[in-house]
Amino acid sequence: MKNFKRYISLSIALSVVFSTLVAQDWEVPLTEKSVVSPIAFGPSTQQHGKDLFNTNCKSCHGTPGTESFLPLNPPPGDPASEKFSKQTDGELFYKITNGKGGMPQFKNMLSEQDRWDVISYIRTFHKDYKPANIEVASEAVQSFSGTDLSITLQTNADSAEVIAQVKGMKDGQLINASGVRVSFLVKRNFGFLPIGDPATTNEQGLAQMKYPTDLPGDSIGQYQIRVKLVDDDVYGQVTVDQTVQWGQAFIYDNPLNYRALWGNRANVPLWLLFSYFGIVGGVWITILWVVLQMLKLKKLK
Amino acid sequence: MAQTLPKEEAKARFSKIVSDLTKPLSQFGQSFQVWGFVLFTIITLFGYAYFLQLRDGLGVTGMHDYAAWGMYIANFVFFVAAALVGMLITAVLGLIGIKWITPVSRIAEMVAVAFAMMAGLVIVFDMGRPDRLLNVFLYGRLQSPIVWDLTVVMTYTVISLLLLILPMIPDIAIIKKNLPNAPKWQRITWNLLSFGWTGTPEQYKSIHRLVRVLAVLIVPVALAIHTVTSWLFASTLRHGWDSTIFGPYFVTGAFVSGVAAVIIAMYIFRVNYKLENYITDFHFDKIAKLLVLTSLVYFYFNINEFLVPAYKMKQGDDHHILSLFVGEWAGWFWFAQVFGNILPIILLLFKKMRKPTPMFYLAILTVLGAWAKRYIIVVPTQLHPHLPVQNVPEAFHVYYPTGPEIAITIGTIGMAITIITILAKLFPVVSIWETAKEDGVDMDTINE
Ligand code: HEC
Repeated sequence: MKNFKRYISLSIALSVVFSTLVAQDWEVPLTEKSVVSPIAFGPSTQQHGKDLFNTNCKSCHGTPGTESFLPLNPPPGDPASEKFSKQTDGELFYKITNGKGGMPQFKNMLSEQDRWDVISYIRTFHKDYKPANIEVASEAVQSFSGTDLSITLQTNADSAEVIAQVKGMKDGQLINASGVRVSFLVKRNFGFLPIGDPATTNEQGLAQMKYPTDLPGDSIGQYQIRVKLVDDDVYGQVTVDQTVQWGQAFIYDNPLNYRALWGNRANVPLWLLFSYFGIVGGVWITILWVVLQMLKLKKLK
Repeated sequence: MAQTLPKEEAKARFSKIVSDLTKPLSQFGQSFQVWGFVLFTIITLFGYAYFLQLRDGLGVTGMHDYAAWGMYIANFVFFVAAALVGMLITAVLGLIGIKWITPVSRIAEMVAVAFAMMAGLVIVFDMGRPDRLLNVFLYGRLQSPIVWDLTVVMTYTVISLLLLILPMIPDIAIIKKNLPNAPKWQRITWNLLSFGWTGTPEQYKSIHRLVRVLAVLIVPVALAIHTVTSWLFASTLRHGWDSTIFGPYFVTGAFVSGVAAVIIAMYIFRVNYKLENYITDFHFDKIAKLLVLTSLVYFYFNINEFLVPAYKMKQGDDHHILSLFVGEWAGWFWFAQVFGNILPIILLLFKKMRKPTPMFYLAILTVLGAWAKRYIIVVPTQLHPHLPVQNVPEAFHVYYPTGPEIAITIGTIGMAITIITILAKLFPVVSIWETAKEDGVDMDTINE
């Protein structure tokens, strides 16, 4: 009996711990809650947000307003529901940015503007939503207000460092662009992967990043790096690619290049090829021989 | 072999045998017409259901992402299984010189040919785009059991057909002579298949030799056809299929269902063709013992196939095994095991049961059990995948064959029976010349 009680209390304790582990509540820092979009929501952000939602969120959250989200635990929820509508823009932004549990982190998958656009789309389903003050929002605009930005790269092979020099036109002059956020990426199989968080250019318009040297590269250890401006919604797409030889030499040994059971049609293992055609050939030659003998029966007078 | 009869007696005996065995070939009475009408209806229904499937695709069946193999493949495995009996009786028993198979072996070979042909066709009916069948040969990978399967099914059908026709050539020459007024379609077939037979000793020597060669050849091919069928399952990593004994397990199971199918055919021919003097109680007694033997071997494999994993209850296997033993599939499972395996062993130990009529009913149950067994080999495993079935339509959690699917399946069985019916109207179901020879009729009389 005593043991039994002990088991009961143990299992209760375990299940409490477990359920809190699994269903930890969202914790959004106070300062993040009041963050608002730098750009006013409007038809163009909503349209863009809708496209992004459909490609990135719909698979789990379903079509807003139809309660068609996946039956996960905890549930993703319907973006048109009160669960979403009663949150501030900042809360939504934080959750989309950082994710939790079954909710993926979109920090590196969607740009900041993209995330705001998705929110602007979600907001179209919330009747009582009042847009945040745009004046506050304008503070968040980037500090470099020039145009025609460009990046030039300087690489240091010894330290595997990249220095990005960002320049832009301001008042008819080409000057160093400071306060611009630059992200450093490396090309992998399925796209570009960011190295660390984006860096912001200093007074001289310089931002730098140290690349890892243990990344698998191509057969001689080369990999492709990309440096781009984060706020492409403000400055447009500005990207520079370069190939560096800082990685580990890696020769991809495609298992499909060998004769093997898993190989394609042309790469059938020889033993299988010979067994198959040997056996099938032997059997069918015998069958043909029998048929020929049958046709010859007539002559056996 | 009996003593050679005196000439006069031999003549009388032979003409009696010929008339007894060929009479059914020219009788298309009322009951045959009813029978033909039933088969025609089944095949018409099949035609309509298959038209629906061709028009709308496999969506008209109950199959889906999880249960991608359903009733069709279960039926396919059943057909392949039953077809193996041809090899067991003609080749294995024939080669070791068992005498009582003389009036049985042709029936067994007819069953084998019909079922092997239909097995090949069922694969085609299981395809949503049958027009792509040729792609299996054009683009198939030799590494894939599907390619082996198609190869062996075709090979086995051809060898079975030859093993049916070859020993029948003397008979065809005899009936050609004795039924000159037969309908045209029969006479054309006989002309074609008598291969200019005159009955010279050289000709007999030749077909003896050829039958012997084919009998040896068909043993590995038959083992291959059903082993490959089992490998379609066993070469995948799924609970219930991931078994090393699937090959012999299938082959031994095949003998049980095949012998039972032959018993049914024997009984029907004995009664309808009035062959009580040819397919006698003695032959039923013998084949009953054969069924007991094959069932015992199969029982042994069942114990291995189920008790060993049930003892270990590996994760995943446990779910599968419990669902068969006591769960949702228990009804099917115990029906299959009891009627398809255990009952024949127990009942046929009694001499009273080894009589044509009780054996006929028992064999029907055994065949039904064997069919159910194929169904629970194919379906339940697919509904218990390694990854949980989630985020899919409710209907994907279960598999129920639909109306068209059932109609097509019954249609294929109807077609197999139709093939046997046609063969049995074209050729005597019991060998005339071999029976006569065993009764002591001399070769000269037979060849006259
Ligand atoms: C892989 C499935 C998945 C995808 C894709 C996904 N979400 Fe989620 N989302 C979830 C789950 C699961 C939760 C609930 C997480 C929790 O409460 O622990 C969630 C929660 C959220 C929340 C917080 C709701 C609350 O409870 O406060 C927001 C906001 C949200 N998602 C927005 C998005 C947006 C916007 C996208 C697309 C950019 C997206 N999600 C894509 C699964 C997903």
